[in-house]
Amino acid sequence: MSDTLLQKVAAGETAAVAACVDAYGGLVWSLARRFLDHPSEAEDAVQEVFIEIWKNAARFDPTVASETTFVAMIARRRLIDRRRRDARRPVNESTPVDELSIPSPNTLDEIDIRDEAAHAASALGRLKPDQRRVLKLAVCQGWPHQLIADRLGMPLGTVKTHVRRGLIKLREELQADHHKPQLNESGKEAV
Amino acid sequence: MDTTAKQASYVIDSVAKAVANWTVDEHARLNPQMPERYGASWRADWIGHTLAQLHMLAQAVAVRSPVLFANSVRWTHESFEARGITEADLKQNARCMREILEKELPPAISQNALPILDASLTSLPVQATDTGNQNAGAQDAGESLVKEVVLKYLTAILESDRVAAESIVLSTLDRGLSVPDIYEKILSPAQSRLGQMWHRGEISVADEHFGSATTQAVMSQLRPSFKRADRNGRLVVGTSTPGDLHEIGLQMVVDLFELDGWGVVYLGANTPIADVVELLKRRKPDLLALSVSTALMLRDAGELIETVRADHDVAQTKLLIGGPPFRSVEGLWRELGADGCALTSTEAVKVGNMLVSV
Repeated sequence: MSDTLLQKVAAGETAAVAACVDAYGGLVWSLARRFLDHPSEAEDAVQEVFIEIWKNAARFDPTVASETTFVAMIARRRLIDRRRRDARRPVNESTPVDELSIPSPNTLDEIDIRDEAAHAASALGRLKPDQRRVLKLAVCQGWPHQLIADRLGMPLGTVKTHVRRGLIKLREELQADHHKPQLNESGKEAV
Repeated sequence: MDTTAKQASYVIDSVAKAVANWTVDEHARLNPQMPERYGASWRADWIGHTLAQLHMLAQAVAVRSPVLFANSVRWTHESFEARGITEADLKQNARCMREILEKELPPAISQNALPILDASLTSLPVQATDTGNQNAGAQDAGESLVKEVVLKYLTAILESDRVAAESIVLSTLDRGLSVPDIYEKILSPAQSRLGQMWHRGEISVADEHFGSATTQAVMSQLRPSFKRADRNGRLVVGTSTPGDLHEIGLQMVVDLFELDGWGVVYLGANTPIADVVELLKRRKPDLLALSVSTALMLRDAGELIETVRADHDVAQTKLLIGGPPFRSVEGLWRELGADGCALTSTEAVKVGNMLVSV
């Protein structure tokens, strides 16, 4: 079986580096446009993504996933990083690609969900401690407000205020960098 | 053009913006006082500069010419110093760019670019520049009349006085200058000087455009004075590369071919490669004259030549190339695959005649 493009990139073939842009430019561009609002931002992001793809080409294993999946995986990770970085200051460190596992083609939805969960957890972590504790019990554990008030020794009105203000704050945090696209393997919008 | 070098060149262009962003980030990290020294638009300005250098580097990679890039860097440094940007900052920016290229690009790509970049960072001997050559043409002629007319013509342009500018040049016909002399000794040096002034920030884009429009108007008014030789039965197609918006130089060349008795098909600026090839098939000219106005057009010029050479129907067309980049880099035209090169419009006619008579 002949080597894939990424294997050729890893082997140091100049032509494969250029061919990579031709082969996956459309996919990466379509992902970038869906993650980022402005075409100029998307253009910058596409370039960063390709550099990341080339740097990680040696990690591609065709027995684990298709090349398209690998490219889409790196692209989505970088785009998520970029969106978060642009939405918040100071700049956060990006996720090292070495820490990422390569998904099988049917696990991209799971990645979406994990991304959502991680993002929500991160936003929750930025709330005030009392707000965070009350919201966790109310939303994650499903406790009634009165039970929370009794267990935490808080007036019922304070619990309700924490829940209301906490949810508003959480929504603001999520909206700041969040309009999650649903993508299929080829990077096109799922219908 | 070498295929690997061309591919590396395309890759550098394709990620130039990201590399420029990271270069400026690194430059600013090393020099936190950059915003204070260069004002509110410092980041955009430096990204623009870095991006321009990267695109030029990509062209130098395509034609494998360290001299091309070194000349460009030298030219940029001159013009930037005129705007208060220090040599030390420009060099540090180049060193940051080198570091990012080495760190971020695959070795298969960076190994094509780094030697060229390194050569520019050392004291590489610089060959004659465009402007030097053109000014030398006027000075060597030893004609005080020519010098005086160029100066007056430039002054009229800078005063936005088109009527005066036209009158100054057209009056030289009565004083015995020929059309080729006017093109080569007055209009061409004047255009070159305007471009230099624009590059150094001494005049605006509007001033430069006004100058070009005036020169084109003067050339149109000179046409009735053309003393054409008898038709020689030869045909030249004059064209530029796709994306090249400059056409005055090419117009001068085809005008002089016309004066020499050639039939002329002038395609002007920004002509798509496929359309050029289609026209070559239809008109079957003796010569294709290709104008390359800046070094940023070199790779496209090479593409055009390769496309012509690869088409069986037109592959044998003699190909003459010319333009400012060829003045500063010896043998560049051979790297691109042309049959000959001319550095002035009169030389273009001489070389063209030589090529078709072989």
